[in-house]
Amino acid sequence: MLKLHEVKAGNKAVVKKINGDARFLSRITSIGLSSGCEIKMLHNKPKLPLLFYGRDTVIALNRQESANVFMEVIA
Amino acid sequence: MMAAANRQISIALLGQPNSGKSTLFNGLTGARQRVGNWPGKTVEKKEGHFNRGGIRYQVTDLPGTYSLSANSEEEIITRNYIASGQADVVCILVDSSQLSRSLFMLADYAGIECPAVLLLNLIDVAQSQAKSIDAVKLEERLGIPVIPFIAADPKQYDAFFPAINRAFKEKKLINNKSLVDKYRSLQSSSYEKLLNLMPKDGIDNFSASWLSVKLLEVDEAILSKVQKALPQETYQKINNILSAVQNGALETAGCKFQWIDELLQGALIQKERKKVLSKFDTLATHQRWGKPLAIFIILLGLIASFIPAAPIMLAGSMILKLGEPIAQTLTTIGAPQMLIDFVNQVVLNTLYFAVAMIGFVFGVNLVFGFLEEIGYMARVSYVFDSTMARLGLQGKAVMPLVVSFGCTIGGAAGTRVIDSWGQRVLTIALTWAVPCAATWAIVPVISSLFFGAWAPLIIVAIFVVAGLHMLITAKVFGEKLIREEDRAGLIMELPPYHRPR
Repeated sequence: MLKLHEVKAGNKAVVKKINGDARFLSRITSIGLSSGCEIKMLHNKPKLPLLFYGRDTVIALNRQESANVFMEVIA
Repeated sequence: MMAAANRQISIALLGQPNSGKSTLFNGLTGARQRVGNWPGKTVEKKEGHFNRGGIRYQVTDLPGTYSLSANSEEEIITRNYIASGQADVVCILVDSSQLSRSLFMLADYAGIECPAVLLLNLIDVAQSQAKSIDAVKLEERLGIPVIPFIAADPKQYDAFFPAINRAFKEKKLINNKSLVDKYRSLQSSSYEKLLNLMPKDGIDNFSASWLSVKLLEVDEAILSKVQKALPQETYQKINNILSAVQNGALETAGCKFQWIDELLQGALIQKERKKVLSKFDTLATHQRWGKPLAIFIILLGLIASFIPAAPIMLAGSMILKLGEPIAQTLTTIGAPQMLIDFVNQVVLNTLYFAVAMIGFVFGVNLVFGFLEEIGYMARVSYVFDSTMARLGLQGKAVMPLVVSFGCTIGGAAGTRVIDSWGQRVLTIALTWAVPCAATWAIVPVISSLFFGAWAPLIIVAIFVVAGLHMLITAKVFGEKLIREEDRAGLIMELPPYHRPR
């Protein structure tokens, strides 16, 4: 399993697990990220938040909190 | 049934940010609206009304939130309003171009016992992305009226009004049976155990099932609501069950999204898929070019502000023309010279300046409102996130600071998009140090008056101090204002660009 910010741009991955307190979980799930959700990494550049596409939405997530999201690369 | 007797229906608009709620609100109520605050809160409350077919509709625009949890004041206000039963029908707006995510609000709402209507807004954007959505099938599955919708086009509201009336008369509730089945199958059947302990009829409009789910999500506000409604002994049992639950919010969200996927099975058809990021977006989010582009567009925006502002400023300058005739009249009636000077130099100039400022503030708000509306501001927040992080803030704080170059009031008002209270207060504390239009005008004048040739140095020094002030304020107060658990980083969507209304 990789952390979300370790997924390379252009790769597709599936969310396996998300850690964090109830507040973080509720914030991140309400924007569309939950276990089993498939994403495609769009930008993964240092100094910029991650940019990925999931559930028909382009989502920006800061790098620090993305370390709590665990992924499995599928393509 | 008072409402029916009076032929009045109260509707509330519910939806995630960018779902088009405000557009619908304006389209429905036009000028018949009132903007205030929710009692005791700094959150804006918009109410309005309209008449149609002999019925008076009272409309409340609820704050835009991503869910009905208790993460922000906005979310708590929203769900308390729905629970209170003040709304007869809740209109849930979703963005059809991002349906599978946008429906999360609907899934979070399911289980609340207040009639609802689902509006598939931005259906034109969805169609332009080669998506087709079967509203009839969705209506069959959901049991509430489902209307394909374009909030920006009030001429097409025809299907909307009968849907509201139908939901109101037949008390249409969301059919959440299969969603509840998913909750039942969760870890160690904690949902079932909680459900058995809840008050049978729920609390207010919240059903027992909805309450149980929120408890699994470790929702403190609901926990204390339940504590008040139940005997101590039962509450203790609830706490025992909850202490064994882990990652509840993640599990229930999984159920909700699974339910949404099943709901959309065969009802949402996506033909070919265009590139996710357009050419412009690739540039706007580019590591190197994103920031220069943003600065360029913002500068262009500030200049463009003068276009709508110019007529107002011109009208203001007419005031100065009044100086001579007034002075002449005053002289002929023999007024003292001091009074003439006062009127001419102080009163007229002040009026002129006030009108010119109104023009400029109006222009700035219009232009930056436009950039926000079409969706570009989200890209600016994205590229400036790491810059803002140095001040202990996040990307969403960049917009208020930028607007403050035009007008501090607009900047402070714009901070409401920031999700954490501490970050919001800190941003407000920084906005006033950003030199606004008036500062830009006054600092050079006063400096050249007092310091002559040294003026440029003084001007630079003043702005450097303003910058330092921001850094120091952020350092000194940031730690205290933003508690560890509040230190929320950027989590946001980049909405697809769309036409402003």
